[in-house]
Amino acid sequence: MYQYDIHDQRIVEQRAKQFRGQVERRLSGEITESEFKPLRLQNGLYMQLHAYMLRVAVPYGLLNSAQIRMLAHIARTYDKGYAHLTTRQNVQYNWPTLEDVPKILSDLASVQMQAIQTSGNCIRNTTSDPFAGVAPDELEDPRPYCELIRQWSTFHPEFAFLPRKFKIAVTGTPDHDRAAIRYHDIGVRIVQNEQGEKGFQIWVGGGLGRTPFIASVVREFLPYEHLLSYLEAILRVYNLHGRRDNKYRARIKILVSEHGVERFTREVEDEWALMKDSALKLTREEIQRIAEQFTPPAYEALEPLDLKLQAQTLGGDRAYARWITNNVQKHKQPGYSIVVLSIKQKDIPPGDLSDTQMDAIADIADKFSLGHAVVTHSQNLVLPDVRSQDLPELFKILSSLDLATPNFGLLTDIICCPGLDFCDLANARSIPIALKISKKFDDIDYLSDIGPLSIKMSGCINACGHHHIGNIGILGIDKHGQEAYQLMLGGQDSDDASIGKIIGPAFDETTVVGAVETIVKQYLSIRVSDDETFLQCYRRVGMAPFKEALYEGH
Amino acid sequence: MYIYYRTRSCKMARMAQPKGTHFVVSAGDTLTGAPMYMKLDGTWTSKLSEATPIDDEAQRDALISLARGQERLICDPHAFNVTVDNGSPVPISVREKVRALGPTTPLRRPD
Repeated sequence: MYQYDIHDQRIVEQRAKQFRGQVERRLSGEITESEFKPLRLQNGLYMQLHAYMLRVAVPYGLLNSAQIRMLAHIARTYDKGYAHLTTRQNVQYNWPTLEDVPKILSDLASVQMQAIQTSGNCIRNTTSDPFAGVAPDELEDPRPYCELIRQWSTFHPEFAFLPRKFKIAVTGTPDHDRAAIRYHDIGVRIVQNEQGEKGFQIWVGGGLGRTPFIASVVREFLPYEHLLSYLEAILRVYNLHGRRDNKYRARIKILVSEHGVERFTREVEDEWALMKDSALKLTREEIQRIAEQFTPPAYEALEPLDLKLQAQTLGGDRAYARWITNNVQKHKQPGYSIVVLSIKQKDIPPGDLSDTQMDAIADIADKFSLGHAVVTHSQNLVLPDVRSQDLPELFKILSSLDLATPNFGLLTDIICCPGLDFCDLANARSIPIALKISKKFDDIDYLSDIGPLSIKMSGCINACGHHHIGNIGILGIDKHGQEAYQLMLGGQDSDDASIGKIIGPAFDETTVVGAVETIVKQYLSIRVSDDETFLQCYRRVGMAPFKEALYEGH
Repeated sequence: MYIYYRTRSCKMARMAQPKGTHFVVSAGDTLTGAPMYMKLDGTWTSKLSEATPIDDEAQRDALISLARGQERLICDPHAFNVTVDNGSPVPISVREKVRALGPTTPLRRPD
């Protein structure tokens, strides 16, 4: 894990001190809200529906146990005892007071954390594969490159006031995108060319929001040393030509769409030609300097365990077997496993963690996972380095904390934005609908029978809950002062990316959960086999059978 | 039942709301961000039921101007539409209803 050097540490400490002064001036009336607003936003502080909201950066989702304990401390001391995991692998607090925020930033700085660039029209937290560094199908660990991008983009003077916010994702797994790179302003995929050299495939112009786009490849192979210069060239073209007259047309996806990929690529290549050998050119030594901080730990030499067999031999413990099947993933190191902690507990908003749970997770990370955990963009947590022989003990502990729900990748593993319960932009509540769906489908045998099926839900068209790319997407809208919910089918966030299509007229709060149930039942009745997933079934039969089931008789 | 509706933008969706009969002037408390509501005398209350509903657009604009002069205490003053029931304002929009009553979801420590 990257450790701050003296300069990094000084920057975050000074930033907290600077913000303390800004808050004092705001509270004394020395500066107005309009003067203060851009300052607080640059420190991740929003004003939401009921209170301020502080978004804390978690670069590429990676946390150590000391940081998790600090997040628990902040939740307990300054908030209402919980924190919320976001779809950018960050953490949010929903209830801080203004005068407490400088104290929170100081506390964060003490464990090498901050809230810089978690808001505003700048380059946001770079996200990555939650299994980065431990995935068996990975070509190279993407986190050193994420860290290079973080250092390059933090306080970059040229890109502090872009036309709109800007999001970058990096994956090191060429054949299994777990970072949704096709839905980012820039997606970076580590690839290998015919000569066996590693480099990057660059995708540009993806995004969700009111105008969803799947990104296009602008460069099939970029030599490793040019990563930052090429990103800078893209940002320069965007900064120059991106629209500033209309915030709804200001994202790079609109520019790429309006210019066309060929013209946009040509503009980037022309810009890049002027700067490719500038100071931004990376050296092997510089990459190595960062990569050394992500060196794999000294794994024990362990015999590989057949996890399914292990589950069966434990006296037919079905709960454990379900958890092994769904939440335990293959690790690159024999004898180790990746464990997904489901933060989708019954009756609790998706992604919410209490302070006691976070303290316990820190202890668990120390005992079972070499002191680390990773926030996923699906609002879960990952323990990346668990010895497979420890899984039974870990399962018992997680069960006692309500963190062993075996629903990873299943219908109740819902991505859900805060919605109108918290968000100032939302048109409809999303969390209550997610909770009702979870309750309706609270049967793990039924969920397992349904198989892989993603539900993603947003409370407005800004799509923080990624509704466009859920197999079933739910969009909350405002219809004459009443909440209503549009359903979409067929979205997908990975290599076979697709944007969901609206199935028909929206449903109200009382009928939307039943509509989801109808869609699921229709899928179960028409799938050709138990192995045909919902998405495969939808792509085979199209919208018509689902539409018929939903609207028949209306 | 289902409602036929295609979203074009949040702004358009909000524009489609019925107007109500009165207005309430509201803002966020600078210290906490909590919703505050203006009384006729220009002071603030955290309870919507204690806010003064006004039916005069000129008076509404005057109160917003008054609120803008109190930006040390409050942020983002605005007016929203309400109806009046037994003298108390009732918001038209779900947004202002949720804002007045608090989240409808469970909180870990609802203090």
